[in-house]
Amino acid sequence: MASIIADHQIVKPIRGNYLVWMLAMALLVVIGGYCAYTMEHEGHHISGMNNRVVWGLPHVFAISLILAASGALNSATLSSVFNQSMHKPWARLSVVLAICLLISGLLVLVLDLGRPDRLFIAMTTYNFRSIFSWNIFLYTGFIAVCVVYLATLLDRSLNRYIASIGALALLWRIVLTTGTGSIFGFLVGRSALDTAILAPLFIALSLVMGSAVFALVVALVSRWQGTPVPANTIRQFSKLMLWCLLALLYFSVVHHLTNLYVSEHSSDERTMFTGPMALPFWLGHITLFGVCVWLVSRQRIIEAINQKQWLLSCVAALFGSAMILYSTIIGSQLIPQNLFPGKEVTSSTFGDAGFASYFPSVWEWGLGMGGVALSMLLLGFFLRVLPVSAHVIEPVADISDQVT
Amino acid sequence: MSRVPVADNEKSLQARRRFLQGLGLAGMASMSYSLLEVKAKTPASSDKRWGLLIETEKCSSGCDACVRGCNEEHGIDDAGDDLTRAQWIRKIDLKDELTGNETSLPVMCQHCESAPCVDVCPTGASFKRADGVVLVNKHTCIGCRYCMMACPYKARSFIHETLTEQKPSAPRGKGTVESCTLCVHRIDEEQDRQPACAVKCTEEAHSAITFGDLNDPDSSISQKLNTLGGSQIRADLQLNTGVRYQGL
Amino acid sequence: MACGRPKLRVGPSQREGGFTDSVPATVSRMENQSMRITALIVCLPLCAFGAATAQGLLLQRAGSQAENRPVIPKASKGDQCVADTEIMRKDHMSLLNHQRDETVIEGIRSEPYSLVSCVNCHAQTDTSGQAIRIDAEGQFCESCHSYAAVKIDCFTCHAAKPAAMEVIGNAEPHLMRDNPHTLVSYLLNKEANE
Ligand code: HEC
Ligand code: HEC
Ligand code: HEC
Repeated sequence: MASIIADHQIVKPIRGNYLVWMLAMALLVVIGGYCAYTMEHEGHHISGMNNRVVWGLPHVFAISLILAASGALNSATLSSVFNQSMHKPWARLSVVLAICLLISGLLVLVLDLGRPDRLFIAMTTYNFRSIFSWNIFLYTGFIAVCVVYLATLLDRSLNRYIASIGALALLWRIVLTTGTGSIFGFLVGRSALDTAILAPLFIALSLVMGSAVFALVVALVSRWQGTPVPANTIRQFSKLMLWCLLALLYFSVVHHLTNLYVSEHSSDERTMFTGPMALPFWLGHITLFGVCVWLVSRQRIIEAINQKQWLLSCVAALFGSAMILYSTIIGSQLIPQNLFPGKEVTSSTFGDAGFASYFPSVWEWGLGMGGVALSMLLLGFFLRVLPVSAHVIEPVADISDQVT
Repeated sequence: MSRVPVADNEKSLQARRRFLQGLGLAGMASMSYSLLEVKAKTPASSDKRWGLLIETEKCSSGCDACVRGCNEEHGIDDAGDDLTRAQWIRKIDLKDELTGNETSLPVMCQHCESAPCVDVCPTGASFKRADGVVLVNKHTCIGCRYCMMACPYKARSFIHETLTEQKPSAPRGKGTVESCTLCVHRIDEEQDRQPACAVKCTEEAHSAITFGDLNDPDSSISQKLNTLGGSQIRADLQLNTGVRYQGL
Repeated sequence: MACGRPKLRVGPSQREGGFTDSVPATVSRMENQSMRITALIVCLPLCAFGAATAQGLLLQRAGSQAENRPVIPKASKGDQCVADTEIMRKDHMSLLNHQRDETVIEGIRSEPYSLVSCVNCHAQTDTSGQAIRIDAEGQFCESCHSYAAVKIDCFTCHAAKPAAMEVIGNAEPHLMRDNPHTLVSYLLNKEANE
């Protein structure tokens, strides 16, 4: 595999239902905007969130998108920093996808604020003790780094900077994911979250979510281009996914085992396994474990995974990691905050005893899905105006194919 | 029981004094709207540290005088969903798992010295005044609710609905976070003014809430703390709260 | 956008190990054309929308300037504002903002530019003596602002009417004591009525 022939193109709107796809995404974005507006206008009481469960589904979506943005850079990093030639054709797409996902994630986060009209204040007044403030810099900085990165990939005269900007992007995404994990990691009032291991857990989550989303996008773009994804590429992507999944499972197991071990957290930890979050918790872990086992068997025994199986494994991995994120973010808020150790709360007007419950409303679903759709809409737009999508031909293939 | 009439008496005296003050004031005001003169001219100072002492023995289960006082003062509507309406103070009844002892107490913002909500707030809207009162500057609050995630006491409320008919002294509105302010608008006005919860508690003859300056060794709160002692909720977090509980 | 693109379309790159980015000229031209069309489709409505709004605004301004300057209701109390009227007209926003930070952050309540006081003096009452919101249409804050196309959100939180007089009329001592604003405005009101 000395050299891969790749040809970066602009997506043509005639093939693979590009236009239909874009229209569908635009519709979802409009619905999302409407949901956000309604939630803002009516007030958050129409959402499933309340003063006990203060962060809900929009935050799960937003954090997923942000984590996926960082993870989507996998291919770019592997090609520019670790010089993996298989990933080279995908570097541009990888960077563009990262930008689209991050913008959408931020937008969902902003639209869920109580006062999104005060975005200007959020962007101009900072409290530097707040991890949240730092994250605002990390997110906007990430977009900036990615834009420069993309320019170096697109413009031949800037090609020599690829390695250094790629390294910067790698560093940035690690810090960004650590920062995102730390939003949750240092909350002393929430026993299920008060642990530094959330940062590596979030990095692992980002690797899985990013790889999965990227794989799905590669498949989508290949449909638009009318060229199948080469079998070797699929194999490589699946291998990468396997490693990411193993890392995620490792950190998740460590997270929960250490929590069980720390005596002050252990009872809350046990409720994670059996309480109201048990379903997403177990669903997430079992799905991920299942994908791992399945990938290993494919890899070892058949050494060939077809496109359908590959995409299925990605969807499953995405679902599983979203469940883990959901159970972490929501689950930690359902557990009652224990103000009086050794005492039983017999009455309270604000749920100091017993689990809280959370049922996301349609508005939250709408906002979240709108965010996902926006990332795809932006992606479709960028693919249309920049030569980003790779048309990969394996060395043996007939070159004349590419002129279509 | 003997304490109560004295307190009442004292109170009515104070009331009369204030009323007269008010009249004098109004006289001035009718000449040239200068009533504002008497209000706090000086900024809140770090010489003071405002705090509350709650004597749980005097606090009875089923009584919510402090909550009512607070709600009246700030125009808080106590109807509606307990989980989405504002609750600056909530009453909690406890039973010791070992001894079976029952306690009742109000929980509000504990006005921590190292407040987690202040640390996490991205815009600095959550802040601690020089005199130790932890507040939300609702002019810069963007409604992200990170402070509510961080608060170990669940003391903050996010406003989930459009509000109307707010009190002039207590501006409140949808989309921002709020919590007990120790009635800064009252305690800044003039000396010896008590937060509404403490006033109501005394009015209803419990006197379970003492408000005062923790830095002043002669204040009644400091003296009570010296003689009766007072513990913090979740003292293990070492937040050095301004609200202390006796008999917990 | 359209002129930047040919630059971005790069040929085989050394670093990226033998990619061929070359695209036959016909395809390229075709794409350029469709690109331009897309750009037009996107830009035209935007431009049209922008122009229409700008024109609308201008017309609105011109019209209202010619016919009716805003009718600003007179203050219902006092014979002088908290500062020179001219200064108030020009600088009330910065005075308010300054006061706001001083009061909220530092706890200084002696300064004159309290939003409560603006409402106390400037809010009108209707024929039945009921207070009208100061931000209602045609009222003090709104009259000027709608003319100047300013929107403020202050009264989503701050009371837009002076504290209720009826309660004070019943002379509940603790209420009078508790709120010097209402006490004074009550007395001033009474004085004005007599
Ligand atoms: C989200 C609710 C909210 C909004 C919106 C709001 N305020 Fe306030 N404002 C408050 C609160 C709460 C206080 C503190 C009251 C206190 O401590 O007595 C306050 C206090 C003030 C004060 C000092 C107290 C006084 O009456 O003098 C001023 C001045 C003020 N605000 C001006 C404004 C202005 C001007 C606007 C509009 C641009 C505005 N506020 C919008 C909630 C709000
Ligand atoms: C003592 C009562 C009083 C208070 C308090 C007061 N005003 Fe005034 N204000 C007046 C009077 C009287 C005028 C003179 C113009 C008039 O007759 O309406 C005036 C005039 C003004 C004007 C110019 C109106 C015009 O016709 O061009 C503005 C603007 C204004 N005030 C804003 C404010 C603001 C903002 C506040 C709060 C910080 C405030 N005022 C507080 C009594 C008051
Ligand atoms: C004489 C006309 C006039 C009156 C009366 C008036 N305003 Fe204004 N106000 C203005 C103008 C003009 C601006 C815009 C100034 C600018 O943008 O530079 C403004 C701006 C403001 C702003 C800043 C808005 C922003 O977005 O920056 C606030 C706050 C404000 N006014 C509060 C009030 C309040 C409260 C009242 C009623 C008590 C009031 N104003 C009455 C003319 C007026």
